[in-house]
Amino acid sequence: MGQMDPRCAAIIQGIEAIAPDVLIHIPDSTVAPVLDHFARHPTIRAFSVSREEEAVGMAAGLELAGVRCVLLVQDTGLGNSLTALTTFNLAYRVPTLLIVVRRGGVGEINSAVNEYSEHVPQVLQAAGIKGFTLDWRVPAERWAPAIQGAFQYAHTSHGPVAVLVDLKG
Amino acid sequence: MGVKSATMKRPCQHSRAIASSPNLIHSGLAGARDVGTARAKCSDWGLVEREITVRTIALPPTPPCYTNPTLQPEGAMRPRRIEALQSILQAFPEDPLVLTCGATSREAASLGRRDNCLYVVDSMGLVGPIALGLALGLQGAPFRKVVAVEGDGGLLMDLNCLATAGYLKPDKFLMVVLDNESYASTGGQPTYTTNLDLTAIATACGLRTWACQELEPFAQALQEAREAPGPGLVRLKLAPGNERVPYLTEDPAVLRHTFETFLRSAVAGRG
Repeated sequence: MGQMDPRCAAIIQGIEAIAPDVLIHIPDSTVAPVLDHFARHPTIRAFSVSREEEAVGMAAGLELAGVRCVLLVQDTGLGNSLTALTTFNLAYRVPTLLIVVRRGGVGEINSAVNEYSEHVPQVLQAAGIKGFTLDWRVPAERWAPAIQGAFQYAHTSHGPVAVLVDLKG
Repeated sequence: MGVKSATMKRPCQHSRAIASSPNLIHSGLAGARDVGTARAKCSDWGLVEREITVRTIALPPTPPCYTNPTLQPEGAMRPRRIEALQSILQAFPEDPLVLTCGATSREAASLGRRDNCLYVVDSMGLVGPIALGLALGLQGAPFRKVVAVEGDGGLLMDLNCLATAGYLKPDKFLMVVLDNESYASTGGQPTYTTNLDLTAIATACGLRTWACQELEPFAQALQEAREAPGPGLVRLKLAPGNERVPYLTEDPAVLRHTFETFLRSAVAGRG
């Protein structure tokens, strides 16, 4: 994978280990190498949508149809999808894995982003959505198994699970 | 149409007595005019009695109330939503239906519970994306269509899904828009479709569309749409208003399980 950030490589490995049929994402420069990789993937169909709640709804439909699906979104837009996540995927017990790219906090250069993004873990917790963070404290080689485990956890706990991935540190 | 002529003459102005307000616009009564004042006494939580000026005002004509069909003569002549739902259920007895929130799901359920129906009791605007995901996932399944039964208000909350449907072109995706030009489940506030054509938007997104005003052409359009390849949208103009039917109070997980079991057994049985 050349000079790719090892954490991007780990996200790719984690998703490929899940072997989803579909990857739905929002445009994102932080994980652009990941999106580029899956744009030309031979077995995983990847496409972007314009809003996070649309991704959440489509993921639910795919899951109900028995199709394996992974979402890749930014935490800045996660708020757009909270109602969809809680009133459908959570209430209807639809397993959904969200890989959420962290923006706010140390290393963020957009001063407007912090106001929401820094609080995303607490927001998720308050909304009853399970989540955990992969950041500089977790060695890159642990990321892929954690992402794969989160997918299984979404299915065994019958609901949405968010893996927050922080590539800024 | 005796009701029509009678309701057209119905006065729209209402008078109301309000405590004096320095700015009628800020009190949400733009356009109101004074028609009289009087002095009265009032007390603040029984502690301090004071004299205030009470102004009787006349409110400006109110916009049409879309919750009551009798106030919208043209709409009153249109089909009722429950009639349209009956047509949809008859046209798609064995295909997955995703029904939008509020009165639409309740009215559909009141016609008899069906396992092929996913009753979405909240999540306004999400029916399109859910059906899109289903249509993508069930591409090889033995269903003719996956039908999103949406309202005009719900679709306006996520018009994106039409663009996504036009881009991805899931063959089995069909959206049926029950367009009563109002947010009927929330009190009948008017939507943009009083002067916005959702079929034109869907056509621009690349969907095959049908625009209907009456039940018979609507039933015909559903038959055509069921057999037509590619994503489509059928829109029916409806009378405003809701039926008095029971709420859906089951655990949503049960609603999902019933629908998912239908999908699994249909795929296994017909595959």
